[in-house]
Amino acid sequence: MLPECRSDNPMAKDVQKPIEFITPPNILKAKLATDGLGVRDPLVAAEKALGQINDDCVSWAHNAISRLQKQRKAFVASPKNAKALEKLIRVTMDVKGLATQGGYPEADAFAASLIALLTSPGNHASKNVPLVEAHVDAIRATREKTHTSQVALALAEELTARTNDLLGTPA
Amino acid sequence: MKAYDFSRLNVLVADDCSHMRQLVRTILYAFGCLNVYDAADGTQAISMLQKHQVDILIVDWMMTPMDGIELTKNIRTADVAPNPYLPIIMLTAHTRMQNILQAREAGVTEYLAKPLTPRSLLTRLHMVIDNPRPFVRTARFFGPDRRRKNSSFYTGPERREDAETAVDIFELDDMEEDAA
Repeated sequence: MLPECRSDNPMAKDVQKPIEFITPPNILKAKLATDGLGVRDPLVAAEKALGQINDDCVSWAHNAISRLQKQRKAFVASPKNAKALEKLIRVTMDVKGLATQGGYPEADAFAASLIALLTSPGNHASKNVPLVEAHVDAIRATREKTHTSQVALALAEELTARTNDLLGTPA
Repeated sequence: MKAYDFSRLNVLVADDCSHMRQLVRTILYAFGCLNVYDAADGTQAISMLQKHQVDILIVDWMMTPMDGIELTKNIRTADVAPNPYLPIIMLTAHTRMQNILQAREAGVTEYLAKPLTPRSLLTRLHMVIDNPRPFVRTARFFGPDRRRKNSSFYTGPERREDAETAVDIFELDDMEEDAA
């Protein structure tokens, strides 16, 4: 049985709700406590570790962008196929997760806008296949470094603006 | 930031992309974590939670057959995992406000937008450790209090007509900044 909220405020008498607040003991703080001696800077260590797997990160980003192109073909072939759309969404999310670390930070904005388009209610993606393709082309272009960062930024703004216009909300 | 000994922290990373899992694992190992478990979807994650004592779950949203939202709801309310209070950090490429709200309604503790950086992950770990959210149970919700900033300081009556779906503007601003 949940306890009733109590209040002495007569203004609140008709809005009392059964609501229970629970504060679990902070086990983690005690478990991980240290005097700090000998603890290395975690951020420095992480940057160093990421530097050591840089080649892998580049390869993962390339792989994700290649998979994106493959799924784009499947989607374009049957834009109303729910499975094709879902696969395209998932691989676009992989691009968003991996491209920046793999050395293609410009791809992030394109991927964000494409995810907004693909996941929007109203089936906008299947009705606007050229816009989907423009996003994928832009991501591929970042990998091939066919344009400068400034051009990529301008293109990302343009595609994001078009997507926002279509969806009626900011991506 | 306060220093912690992460070698005692047990983390489960659930993401359907093996490269993403490897990226997260690399960062966690660099932080000093020794026990990082892996799962490729929600079902595997539940199995891992039943086998191992996990302190923090880092979960992707889109996975099949069970996605991160369903996994979170199951952990909070379906008695499938030993700890319904488990801190859950959602690491996702979804960055729209409605996604953040949906994750919060499912019972996610912290929200982290891809691409992942060591700093953003460390910040979320510290939030979970330093300022754990109290939990709220109502007829329709069980999960971390969605009003981190003011719930501890407000001692007046509950005036929310619908307490379990109330949205605190300050926290939304905070989450929006984090997601950006």
